[in-house]
Amino acid sequence: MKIQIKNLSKSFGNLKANKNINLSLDSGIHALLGENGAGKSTFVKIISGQLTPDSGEIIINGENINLGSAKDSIKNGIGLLNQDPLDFSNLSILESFLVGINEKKPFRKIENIKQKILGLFKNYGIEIELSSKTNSLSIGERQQIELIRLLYNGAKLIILDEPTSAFSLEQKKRVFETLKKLSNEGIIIIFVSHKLDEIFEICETGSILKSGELIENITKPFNSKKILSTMFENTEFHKSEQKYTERVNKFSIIISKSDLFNDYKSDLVHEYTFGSVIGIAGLQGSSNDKLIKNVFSNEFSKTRIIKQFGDPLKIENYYYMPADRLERGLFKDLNLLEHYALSISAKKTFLDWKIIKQTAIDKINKFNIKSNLNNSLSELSGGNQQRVMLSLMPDLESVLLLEQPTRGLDYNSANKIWEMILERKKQDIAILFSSTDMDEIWEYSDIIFSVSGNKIMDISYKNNLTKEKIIKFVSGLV
Amino acid sequence: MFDFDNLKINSIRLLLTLFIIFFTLILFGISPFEVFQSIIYGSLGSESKFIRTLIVWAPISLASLALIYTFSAGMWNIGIEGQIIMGAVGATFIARSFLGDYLISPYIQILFAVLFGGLWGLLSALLKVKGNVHEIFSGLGLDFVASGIVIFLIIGPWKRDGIASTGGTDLFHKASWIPTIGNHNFPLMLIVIILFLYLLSYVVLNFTSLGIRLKSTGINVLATERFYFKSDRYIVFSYLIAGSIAGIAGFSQASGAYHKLVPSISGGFGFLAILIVLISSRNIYFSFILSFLFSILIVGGSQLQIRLGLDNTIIGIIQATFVLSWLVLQRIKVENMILQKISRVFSK
Amino acid sequence: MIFFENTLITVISLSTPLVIAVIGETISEKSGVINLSAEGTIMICALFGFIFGYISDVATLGFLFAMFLGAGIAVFISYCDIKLRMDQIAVGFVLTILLSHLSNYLGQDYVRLNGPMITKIQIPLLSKIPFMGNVLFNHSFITYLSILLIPSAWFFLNKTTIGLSIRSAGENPLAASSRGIDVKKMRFLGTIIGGSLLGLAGATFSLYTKYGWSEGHTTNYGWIILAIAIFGGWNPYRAAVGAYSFGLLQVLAIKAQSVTLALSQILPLLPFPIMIFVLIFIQYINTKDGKYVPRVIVSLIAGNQPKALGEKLPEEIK
Repeated sequence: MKIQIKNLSKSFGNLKANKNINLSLDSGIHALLGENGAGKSTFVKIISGQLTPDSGEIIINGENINLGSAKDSIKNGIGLLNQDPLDFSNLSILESFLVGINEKKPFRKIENIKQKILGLFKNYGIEIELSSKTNSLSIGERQQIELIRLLYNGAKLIILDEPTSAFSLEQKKRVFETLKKLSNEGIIIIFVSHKLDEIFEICETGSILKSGELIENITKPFNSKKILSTMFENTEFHKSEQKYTERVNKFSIIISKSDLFNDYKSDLVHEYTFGSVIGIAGLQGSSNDKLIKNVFSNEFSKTRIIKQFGDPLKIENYYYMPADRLERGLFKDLNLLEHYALSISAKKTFLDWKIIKQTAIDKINKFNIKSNLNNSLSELSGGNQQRVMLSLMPDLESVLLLEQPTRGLDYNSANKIWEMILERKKQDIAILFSSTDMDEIWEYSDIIFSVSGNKIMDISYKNNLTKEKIIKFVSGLV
Repeated sequence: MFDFDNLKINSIRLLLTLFIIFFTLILFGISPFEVFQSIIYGSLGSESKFIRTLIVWAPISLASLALIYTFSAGMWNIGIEGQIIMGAVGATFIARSFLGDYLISPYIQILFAVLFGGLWGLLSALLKVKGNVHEIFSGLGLDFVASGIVIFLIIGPWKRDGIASTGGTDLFHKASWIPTIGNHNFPLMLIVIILFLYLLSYVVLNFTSLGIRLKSTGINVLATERFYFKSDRYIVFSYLIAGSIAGIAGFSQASGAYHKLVPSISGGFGFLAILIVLISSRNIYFSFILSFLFSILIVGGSQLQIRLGLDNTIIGIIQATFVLSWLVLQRIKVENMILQKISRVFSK
Repeated sequence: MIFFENTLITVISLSTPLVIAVIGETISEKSGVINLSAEGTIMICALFGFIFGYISDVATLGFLFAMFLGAGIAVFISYCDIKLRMDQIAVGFVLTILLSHLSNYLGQDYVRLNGPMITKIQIPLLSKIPFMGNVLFNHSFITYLSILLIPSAWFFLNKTTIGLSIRSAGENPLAASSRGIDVKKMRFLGTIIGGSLLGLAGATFSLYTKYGWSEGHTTNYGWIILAIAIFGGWNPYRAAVGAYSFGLLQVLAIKAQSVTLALSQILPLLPFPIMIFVLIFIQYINTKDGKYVPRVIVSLIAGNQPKALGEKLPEEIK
């Protein structure tokens, strides 16, 4: 199979999401790289027929295909593996296979189909019964089954849209093996990802997108420095200076024994000075986010923080910021002003809108939020939403609990966010953050917790660690 | 705070809706002008008619107010009918057993109506929060359970002397009726209560942390925890408040309108209030005015039979058509088009 | 024995409209749409089914028209749902209020008239089987239809491509759409089929089980079938069991009338508390403690609630 993409363009309003993209592929695993907002997902959606481009054509084996029709894309052998498995929890695996199957009157030849699926399962080492319900499987298994399903339906080109974010290491290995096998059998794979290490591991060629344009095609051997500088061209790489302020007061973290690797007999107590930044490193799917949330809500274990002197910490002393902004962090139909009102509602029974408005204006200026007070949150960009979340931090001495504070942000916005966070070192008790990006962990933490799966593998000061060590820990290699 | 553009759009929508209603009536071979004339005459034409309108307005306005709380918290409180019914049961319980004078009895009735209505609301809330049962189904179920309880009471323990029929209980003793003043029995106490509750709710919804927390609960229950409150608790609050206010509506029906307990004690006003709140979408002024307009329709509508020989179900049709066209027009956004056309004409 | 036999016959014929309606609602909900207008749809279709039967003196015409009307109302709901993206619950609720008032207004001239009767058809041979023959094979055609509807609906939903597509649209519209299923069409189809069955059920009341028309002729039946649809766990067979149980309840209520008035009034309300308990149970078995409930009970009571039931279509589906 050979796919040619010619002059593909798509705009949303003023934003040109894809500009004259040309690409031609006939085999192998091809990486699609680019920072956030570079136009990767638009591109993927156009190829898989979920979006209609403004102009351009897609040619498969010399024939133009009908654009903007998921059905036609499937018919032409294009399959998309979504970030989250797109399947049906109440349907059995067999039924799930039958939805949108590439065969007419599937119920007439059901036995035939069953045999074919089982054959593929055997070939790729999957041992799951066809009658079991989808909601009884793990996410990794569901994605694997999705891959097989695409294959069954005659996919010759499979697009993976950041597929590994929800995988455990074990699941990732299995899926990668499947991918390599598929590639050997002549299936073209387009692999969309942020993670260079994954790309280096399995891709042979790649393209870099930047602000909607395909700016460079690359082939193995990859040069990571060059790729990074192409991807983030014109973005400033300024290292934020660490304003280190020596503080005397101390707090302790009491880490529940159930959270620790190795069978500790009792809880572990660690003492740190005020203003420490604690980075909780872990791969996607590990419980590093859970640990952060747990300190706030005591939902998952007994790990907690206490001050050595002074009043005990109250719930208001914690400020928790979840990773998914609009799902768990903010109210999309509430305007900016109302968010500030909400943030003081714990202390005040009656709301004085004049004062709230004043604080809101101050915060908007201080945190450089580009929005009106009357804009509802859904109208803001991701970076602005993140700054709103930060601006809602209480003024008093707090423990900041930040779940992946820069998730989904590009380098520039992420840098700005970190400047604002580090600003709080002078005033706060502790700053805990989780991340799956080991560079981020290394850059900003004073103390690093390395988490693999559900367990904390290691707790050390940064001075006693190297980046390689952390990567070993989070990968579960001790 | 005042939004002039919004008002313009709403007035155009109102005109369009009225046009649709007029058209519907003409389709039925009814003159809309005659209908509306006799409705207005029948509801506002004299002092006693006006007071009858107020008696109908009382439960509708209270139920609408109650629903504003639950709609704020994102809850479809279809169980409002049951809450009204249980409020009436609470009031009847006191009215039948407590024959104090009119200075005491009504107040204790209110207390019990609030208690019964609030508890019935609480039941819906707990089913939602603890049992994770969709509020539509639990509310609907509890509505029918409440009406079952009323029927049981009327035929059973509270049956009229000698006869067990579904016609209702005995009339309450006069001392248990809602106190009134003047020749036409103006229910001053009830009106004062309503105005007070509306004023209070205005403050609560706009200027207290309870108000903003209810609203945010209605938008995203998952994000409330990090603002230091539990959405579940606020869902329960909203149901408790709604049930209590709906209970007072039930009290108004039992001790103000019927002076006894009847099977259809809620008069369908709970469902009617849902229609009102669907249009007024949490706006407290709108629901105040709309509930009054709807009660004018109801009271005036009862005169249609006499004056025009029309069945009063036409009123229900008018109300529902009004709400349905309003909701559809709101979505089609035809008003904006019309506004643009108008401004273009004027700019020429 | 005769008493038992007669009771069963009554239950089966009395439950005819309930079975039809509850299967209609189930199909609609499988596609993701709660048709909350059931109460109003059944009512107005009962009226117009009767009017058409009365005017033409052919009952079948009444049934057919009621089906068309029910489907027409469903088209409106679909339009609001798919094109305008309105809240299904709001639309259904307002429609219920509108249609029940409308039927009372328009039906004034048709109160207590005699329309066409439908006769019982004895199925040759089969009706001669002792006991069973009388119970199952001595009914009107509409009752046979309702009985046939149960396995056909199950077959349609589980063993045909369209049925599976409808279910996939009700489970996860985005996933279905990405596989090339026309989700809007499937949702439309489910709503229409459901609506037309609700309409047929309405006419079955006025032309058969509750012969004639009067004000509020089918009051509360629409709400009851919503409850039974949940009791049925979105499975046509169980839904039918629910409908027949309610039919039995009604018969018992009639019999109880001579004993105590209260019981006869309250028995028909029983589906509602049962619905609440079923819903609590469904949620309970999804919790941690729910593991200890024996599988048999789980499979009997719990149901596969469609994941996207009652939700608006995602914005991605244009």
